Amino acid sequence: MKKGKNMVGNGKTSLVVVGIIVVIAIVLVSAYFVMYKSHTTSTTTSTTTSSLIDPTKLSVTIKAGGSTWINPQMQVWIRNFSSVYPGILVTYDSVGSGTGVSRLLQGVYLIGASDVPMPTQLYQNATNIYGKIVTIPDSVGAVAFIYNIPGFNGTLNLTANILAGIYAGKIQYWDDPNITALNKNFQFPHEKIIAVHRSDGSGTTFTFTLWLTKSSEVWNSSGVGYGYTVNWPVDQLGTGLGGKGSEGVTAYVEQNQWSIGYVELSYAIVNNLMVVAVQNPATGKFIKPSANSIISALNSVDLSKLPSVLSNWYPYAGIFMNLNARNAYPIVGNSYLHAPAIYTNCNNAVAVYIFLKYILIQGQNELIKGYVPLPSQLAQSLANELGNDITCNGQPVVSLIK
Amino acid sequence: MNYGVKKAKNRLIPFSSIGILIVIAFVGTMLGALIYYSLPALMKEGLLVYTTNKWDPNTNFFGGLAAVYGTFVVSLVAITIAMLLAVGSAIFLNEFALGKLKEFLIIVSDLMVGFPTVIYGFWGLYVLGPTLNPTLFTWLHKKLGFLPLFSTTPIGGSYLLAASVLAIMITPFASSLIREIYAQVPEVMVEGIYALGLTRWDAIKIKLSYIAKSLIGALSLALGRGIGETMAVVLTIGGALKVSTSLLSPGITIPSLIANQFGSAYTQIEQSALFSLALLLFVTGMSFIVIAKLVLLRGSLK
Repeated sequence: MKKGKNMVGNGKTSLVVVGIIVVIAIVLVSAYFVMYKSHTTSTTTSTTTSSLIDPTKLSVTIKAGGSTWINPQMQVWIRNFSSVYPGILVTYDSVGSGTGVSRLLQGVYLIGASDVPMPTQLYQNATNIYGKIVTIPDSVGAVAFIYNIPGFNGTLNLTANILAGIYAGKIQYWDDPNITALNKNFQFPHEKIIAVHRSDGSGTTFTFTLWLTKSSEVWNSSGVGYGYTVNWPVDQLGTGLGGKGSEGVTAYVEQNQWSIGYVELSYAIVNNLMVVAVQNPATGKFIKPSANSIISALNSVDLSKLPSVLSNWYPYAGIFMNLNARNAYPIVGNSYLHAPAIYTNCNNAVAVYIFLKYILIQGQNELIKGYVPLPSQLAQSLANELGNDITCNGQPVVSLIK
Repeated sequence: MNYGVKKAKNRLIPFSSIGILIVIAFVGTMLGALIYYSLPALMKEGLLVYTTNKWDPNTNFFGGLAAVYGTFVVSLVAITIAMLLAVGSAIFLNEFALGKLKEFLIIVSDLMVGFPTVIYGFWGLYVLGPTLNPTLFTWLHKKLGFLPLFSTTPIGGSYLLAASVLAIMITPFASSLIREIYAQVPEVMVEGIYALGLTRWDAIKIKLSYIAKSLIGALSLALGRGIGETMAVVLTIGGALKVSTSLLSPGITIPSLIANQFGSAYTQIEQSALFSLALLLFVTGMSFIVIAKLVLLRGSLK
């Protein structure tokens, strides 16, 4: 009987427990939504516009995220940056370019990093949301081709039309006259070409296909176009294969004789892979990708043709390709950072500006192997533009800094 | 007395139901979210999102037929291989392995159930693939290439490689279920079999037919687990947006397409198309498990 009574008591307590859990759950969910709405604007101090801000004394958190390609470099930048500006905490999530841009538009991030400039539609959405946004290139890379041809020593020379033909399924065998004419030192057998591409959406695919679109009539007649993912015609022939990431592509190329694939140059350099010499349509020369062959390309960029930091950069993607300079490698691309340009919280404005400027100036000297710096003149002029174009309550951010 | 027991049961309901209520709430919200996020693509493209083979950010049109087809093929092949391996290992453990050996094998097998799947993926990409491609898969293509099933040259990733990795992954799980079911065959029946003068081989066959229904249930449970597998498949499927009758051809599955494209999906329609594929997977996976449970339940009541 006594036992029974206890149990009745337990029954009531259990109802209370259920009630408490439900209440906690509701509180947690609503707290999440409140946090979610407010966390881009969370700062610890507020200032009036009249007093100048000392960036080394700020206490601000900047959330950034996006491109996985820039992540290793970004972590280096953040570490070095925090030693100079200990109060500005920058966090970077390596979630992928598309997600980075989406979260910038949702207000989760203040800086969105992308391997591809924000597509025009999203740029318009972003300017509707933020009034104005700034876009800067942060580091340069290139697309390199790796291959597995048994017995082949020396340099494999290929052109845009040959590469387009391979990936469009129009050149199917290694002894194709187009290939043999450029590589006379090697007797190519009648073997099928296995074309390896990225299976995941990536800036590398974007850069490669954009370059094909700019450089090859064979590619344009195939109607594939360009993008971070495309419908590879070679897949339908059974000789196309997709690897996840540069490491996946490399694994498939190494496992398949008579294959070719493309990877980021940084990956090829770090892993000492044999790369193809690609013809630069502007000069007609066959150039192997290397940090030097990219730098010589970048030095010939006509800065006056570059868009301002406030413009839509999407139409300018590929501005570093096919440059008319000695030893310039043709397939050069870069990654981008996007951030709102108009602020009412001046601490955020200063912190974002200081961080972006750090990447453009000091950051270009802190690049890890495989990443190539921006031309210093370009980086300097972008940093100057940022100082005037990022504003807080109508005032250029550069005028707010002590 | 009787009254007391009933009461006690009722009082336990609130306690015991908390966990399951939370789980149901989660599943419900997950299904709700999947439907909500799928709507833009389903409204724009309708069922074409499942029946077209084109994934094209360029024209902003997304059809995942290759992924739907690939998921079906990989699951079917994986479960066939897993069935052979799992039934075999269950018989071995129950009939032939004794004492310490049996204990050891069971520990190893259970350990494999909890292994991170990305490890299976890397093992498939760097070890199993390079081993099978030039040997078994090339042999299949050379000897049986006249069949549509093996009509393409193996070039690294393929449905068959992904299915093999998946089969090896779900075998320990399926095997542990089958082991338990197999051990439940009544002792009286076993004694009866031997009393009739039948061999051990006959006994195994009779026992298997006795638990056939539960066997199907166990395998469906294992399949429900494998159908959504992402990392192991991403690394071994070969990532080609292609519908092919050949098991040696590269392809794609729903989870691997989602893993490949989600991070770079800029537009709402692309994200939504990925969600609508996830919705299909969710519904299919859930129906598998429900059917499996029903079959298992009926089997054990027999």
